[in-house]
Order: sequence, then C-alpha cells, then structure tokens
Amino acid sequence: MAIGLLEGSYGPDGFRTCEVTGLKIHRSAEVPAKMFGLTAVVALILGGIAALLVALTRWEAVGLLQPTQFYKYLSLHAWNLLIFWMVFMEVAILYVGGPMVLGRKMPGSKLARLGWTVMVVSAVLIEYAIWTTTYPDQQPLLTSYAPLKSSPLFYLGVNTFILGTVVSALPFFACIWQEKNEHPGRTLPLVSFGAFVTGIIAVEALLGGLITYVPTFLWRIGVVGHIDASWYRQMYWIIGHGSQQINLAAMITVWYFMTHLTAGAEVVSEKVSRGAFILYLFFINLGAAHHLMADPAVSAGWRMWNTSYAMYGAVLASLIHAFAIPAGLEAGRRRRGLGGDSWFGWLKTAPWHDPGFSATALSIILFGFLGGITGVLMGQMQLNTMRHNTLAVPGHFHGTVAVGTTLAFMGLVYYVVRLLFRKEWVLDRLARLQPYLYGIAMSIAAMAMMEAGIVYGVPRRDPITTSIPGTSFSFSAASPMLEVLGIAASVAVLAGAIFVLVTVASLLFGEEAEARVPVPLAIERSDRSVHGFSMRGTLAMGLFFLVVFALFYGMDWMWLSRLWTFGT
Amino acid sequence: MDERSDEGRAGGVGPVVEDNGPWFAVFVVVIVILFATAGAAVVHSLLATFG
Repeated sequence: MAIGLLEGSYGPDGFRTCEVTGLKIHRSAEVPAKMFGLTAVVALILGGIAALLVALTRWEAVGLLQPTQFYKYLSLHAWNLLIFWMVFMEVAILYVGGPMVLGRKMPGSKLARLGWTVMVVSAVLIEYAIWTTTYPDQQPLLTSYAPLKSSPLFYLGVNTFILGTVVSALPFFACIWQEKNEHPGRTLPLVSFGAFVTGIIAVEALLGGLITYVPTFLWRIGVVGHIDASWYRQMYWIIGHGSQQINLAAMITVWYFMTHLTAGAEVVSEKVSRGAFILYLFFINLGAAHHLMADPAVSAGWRMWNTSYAMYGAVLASLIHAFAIPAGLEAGRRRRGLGGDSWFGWLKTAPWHDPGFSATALSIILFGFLGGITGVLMGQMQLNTMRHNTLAVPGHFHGTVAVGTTLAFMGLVYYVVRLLFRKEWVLDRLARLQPYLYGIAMSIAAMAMMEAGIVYGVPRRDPITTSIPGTSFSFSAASPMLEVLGIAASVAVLAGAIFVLVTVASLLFGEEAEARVPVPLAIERSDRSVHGFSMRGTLAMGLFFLVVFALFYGMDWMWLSRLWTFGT
Repeated sequence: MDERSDEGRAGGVGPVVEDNGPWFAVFVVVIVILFATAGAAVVHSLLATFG
C-alpha cells in the first residue's frame, strides 16, 4: 500500500502535468517529496501524543506524569514537533519549490532517498535514546545543555540526523544550480527563491549544529575531556534557533504559494518580497542571541547589538511579508472581480470553506499577533527580563511554530493529498472544521502560557509549581491559567488528531481526485496591472496590527517599570 | 481612471462570489473569541498590576 501511494502515472520522460497548477512534475522529485511528507505526519502523531501527556501534567490539578516521565515526554514532544515534523516537511517543501515549480527533473534523487534513510534511522535513534534514558544520564529536552550528560546515542543520532538533512538538501541545490546554468538571465519564481533562501538558512543552521554536536558527542564518549558550557550555549543556538528560522522562511514561502493556489493571490512587488527574503538571509539568525539575554558569558553590548539592533532587520522583513501577502491576496482577488469593490468584500468571499486556505489565513493572522509581536518584545534585552525562563517563552513559540508554521504546513498537506497523491479528502466536513478548531484552541493555550508566565512568573519546564516540595512558596495563584492551558491544549491535540485522521483516511480510502482548478484561478484576470487595484483593506488591517503592536510594546515597558528598580 | 468600475468588469465576467457557506462567519467568530480572550488577559494583567 505504502509503495502504491508513492507511485503515480508518468509519461515516458518521467514527467506528468498537474491539471490544477499546470506544473510539470517529474517522478524523481515527486516520490521523495511524498516520502518526506508522510514521515513528517508520523512525527506529528508521536509529538502530538507526547503533547497531550505534557499538557495534562502542567495542568497540575490533573498532574498526569511524575517528573522523570514528564521530562521524557517533554523531550519527545520537542524533538518530534520542533525538529522531525518540521524538518521532514521542509525538505519536502524544497523539492516542491525547486524541481516541481521549475518543471525540472531532480538531479541526484538517489541522494534524496539516502538522506531520507539516514534521517529516519537517526530520528529512531534519538527517540530510542530519549525513551531509554536513565539516571545518571539526563533527558536532553531540546537544548541538551552541557555539561548535563545525555545518552551517547542521542548525540550520535543528532549528528547523523543533521548529516542526513544536508544530504537530502543537496538535490535541491543541484537543481537550482542547473536551472541558473541553463537560464542565467531568468529569475527564479518567488516560491523557488523563498525555498532557496530557506535552504541557505538551513545550511547555516546545520553547520552550526555539527560545530556544536560533534565535539559534544566526542566529550560524551570520553574522547574530549572537557566541554565549555558557555561555548556550548552560544554554538547550540546557531542550530537551536536557526532551525526555527528555517521554519519561518519555509512557512512564508508556503503562505505565498497557498494564498495564490487557493484564493488567487498575486505578488504585488517581486522586488519588495525578494528583498524581504534577503533581509532574512542577513539578519534572521542574529535573533538567536535572544536566547542568551540572561547569559553571563556574553557582554551586554553583544546582546544589545544582536537583538535590539541587528534583529530589527529581520523584523522589518517580517513586517514586509505581513503586508505583502494580504495585499497580494486583496489585489489579486480584485483583479479577478472577486468580492466587489468594498473594503473587505475580497476577504468575505474568500474560500473559507477550503482547509488549505483557512489554515493558511489563520496561520498568517495568528502568527503575526501571537508569535510575531511577542517575539519582538522578548527579543529586546530589557523586556526579556520579564519573560526569561517563564512559561511565557513556550507561549511565544507555540504562537510561532504551532499556530504559525504547523497550521501553514497542515494547509499545505491538505493540498499535497489532492495534488501529489491525487486523493479526494474523506470526512470533508471535519477537514473544513479542523483548522478553526486547532487555531482557536492552540491560540488560547499559548495565551494562557503567556499570562501565567508574565503575570505570575510561572517557570517553564517544570511539572510542579503550585505545591513545590520543601517550601511554602508556590505559584498556586496561577492555577486557573494552567487549567485553561490544559483544556485548550487537549482540544488542540484533538484537532491535530482530526487532521491526521482526515489525511491518512484520504490516502487510504479517498477516491481519485478530480482535476478541479480552484475557482479563483479559473477566473480570467483583468488586463490591468495588479498595481492598479486597491489594497485599502490590507492597509486598514496593517494599521490595526501596528496599533496592537504599539499597545503591547507600551504595556510591557509599563509592567517592567513596576517590577523592581535595577541597581538598587 | 475609476478602478472600481474596472474591477467590476474583470475578465468580462463581472463580480463573482464563491460560495463559502457559513465558513466566513465561523472565521469571524473565531477571531472575535480570540481577541476577546486577549482583551480579557490584558485586563486581568492590569488588575493584577494595579488592583
């Protein structure tokens, strides 16, 4: 069955033409893309199960897991969802954004299969290492901070996983190389360009990972006698945060792709959007420094330069994309006559019944308000002191990778099922409901974490905070927030389970997909340039976003001023 | 040039409304609930600060 799912009908030259997108797709790219996509969903299932157990422990009235078990499942949750689900999806996105969008055969597709094999074996090794870790070894969580020692198999698995990812990315880069060699004057399509930038950021992060984890592995097996903990922290965050910047760049590439495919969006300014991607290239990884805001090993000047100055280059890029994508949606739909000429008719008539679109649109909105604003706030040295190591930090990154990246990838997977596997969705109504259910539940869970962290200072990574053994001090006042977190996270896991149910059932039992071009793409466009159409609805929403941004920025400074007086 | 009249004539097909059923309303409800939740969180934070 699995092998059957990977195969398709191709011409003698190995190509087929997608009836919906018109893309020429070669078997050498499509089969590996399906392999990586399916593997990602397996990681999503494992990480989702662990998420439920973690949430029902942090909801301390339930208190499901003992501390030793809590850290095991927290490690499994982090590695499956922050790393495996994301990275397998991102390699698939490289194959879509490269050979598929460019209509090319993928060179070195055997390398893709080799890379996939190494990544899967490594992921199993990491899962096994986490599962079997016993004292005196420590659970690695995501950071595996030295000098705490984890299982040697864990470090080995991380190194080989990184190598496997590099090998998997090579066919994509070779494809771009061939394209530019054959057509030196031709500009890459924006989606390919975004995937290319994602790939470069990935290489930087992966090299940082090898610089970190090879010496750490040698230290763990006794070849190297000492590892400097401050050196480890600084090196680790090249991949620790770099891997999340891959998520960001890949997610934005998916936003451009999906808003066009499902709702007829256009790129209003290629130069501006490409410029924003290039800003990411130069500035986004400097944002990793915000993890070291309270680190005594680096100077205050270093921290300020990397976060409060250089990082704003990346923030500017995000703000550009945040305007460019809805503006492209508005102008593109107006150009097709969709929604009349009112301020928001283009939005009201958008395909909200299509989970590919609703997941993408919710991802854009929720990422901006929850992940984006809080990311800028906690990325500033002074404001960071209020949130550092509190539950507000997971609140922030669930606003980026859970309601942002994961929701965007879910929307993409719905279309991968139809366009690559060519299966109709089964349980159609559940599919339509799922992005809304996941979006609202995960957003409320993220806000509950932020509130518990900012207002009460509840620590992250701690299963017991309301009745701490050996002390009368407790965070019990925050219990209602932890209850909201537990309930909302459980609903979000349910929504994740619905996603898995719909996609897996569609693959196994779905009928062969009909070649239905989405309505917006089937409508002829006006001859007028896209620049000639109003984007006033997006401007209004953008101004609203900036007002909210300014309000939260001001309130954070107000709260900071009331905490304590520095230096006295 | 009046862009609005041109929008209405885009592609010669006139304004088209894709039937998205009740799902735009669902979207609006979700957004209202989330902003109300965020607003309640802010009020709660302010009460904790000044109350």
